[in-house]
Amino acid sequence: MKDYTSRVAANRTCPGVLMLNSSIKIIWADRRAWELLRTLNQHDKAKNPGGRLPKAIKEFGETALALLEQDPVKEPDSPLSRKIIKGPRGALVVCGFGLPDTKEPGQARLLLLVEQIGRREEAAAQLAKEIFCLTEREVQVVHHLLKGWSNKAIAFELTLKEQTVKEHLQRIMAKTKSTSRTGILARVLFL
Amino acid sequence: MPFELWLVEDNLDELRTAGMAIAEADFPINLRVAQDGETMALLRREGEFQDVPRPDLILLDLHLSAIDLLREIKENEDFKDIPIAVLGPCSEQAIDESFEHAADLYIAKPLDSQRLIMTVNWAQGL
Repeated sequence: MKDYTSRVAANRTCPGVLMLNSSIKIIWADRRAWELLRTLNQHDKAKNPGGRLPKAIKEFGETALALLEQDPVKEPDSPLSRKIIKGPRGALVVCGFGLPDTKEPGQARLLLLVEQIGRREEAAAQLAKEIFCLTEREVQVVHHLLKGWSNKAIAFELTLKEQTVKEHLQRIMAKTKSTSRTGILARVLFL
Repeated sequence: MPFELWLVEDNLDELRTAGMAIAEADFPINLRVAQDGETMALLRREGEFQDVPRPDLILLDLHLSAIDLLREIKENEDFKDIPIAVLGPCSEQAIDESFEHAADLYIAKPLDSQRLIMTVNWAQGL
């Protein structure tokens, strides 16, 4: 059970969380946020040498902070701003929430949630591989199935015959104890 | 069952903030403070600390050998899955150093109630 829990944790899909102060400096960050920022920094290296907070996140923070200053009593549960940032391993979506500080004006803070788009599907396919003992080819089929592709499209992408894709699906159904394509998706996504 | 929080810190201001945050929290938190000399004994639950409950979260001050302690905790079979937050300066280098040594969370000093309670909530949600 512990091994299963560890695998789920390793493939977690939760967003990274970080908090910025009014000078757009990191004052709270979890590991997931740091990992995602690091991928953006590597991507951004030529333009932003040595910058820990990637340029796109910094600009996002400045915009969100300006919005917060205009409307400091905005309901904290609704995001001030959202942005999609292109990263080397897929796009990231950033969502900014304002934390106005009524005790000291000018000390407002931003809470940022950073999430990799498509991460859930990618993680789910990899987790399914371990749990259901899928082959590498079966994982590729599941990966495309999660994107809603037809057998024909999957066959074209993987340079297989459509009949071969159907046979892979039959084996995946047997391994996941499901009886349909939707059943496979349910088993994989609710791991 | 109260939330068991261990804080390795010797700065009085940070300790005072932690105490106030815990007093204001709407759920019970047991705070156990260790200072430099007794930290290893606490982490190994030796001597007077042998009956201390297992922590739900450990906060380490970067200036009190946090990197050595992180290594010690992550190599300990009983403790390696306990979330570790590092308290340090508002510096990119300190943030990188902490995460590169397997910290789970980084909090820039000075500590305040808002971020301490947020950290406890984060650890409860893991």
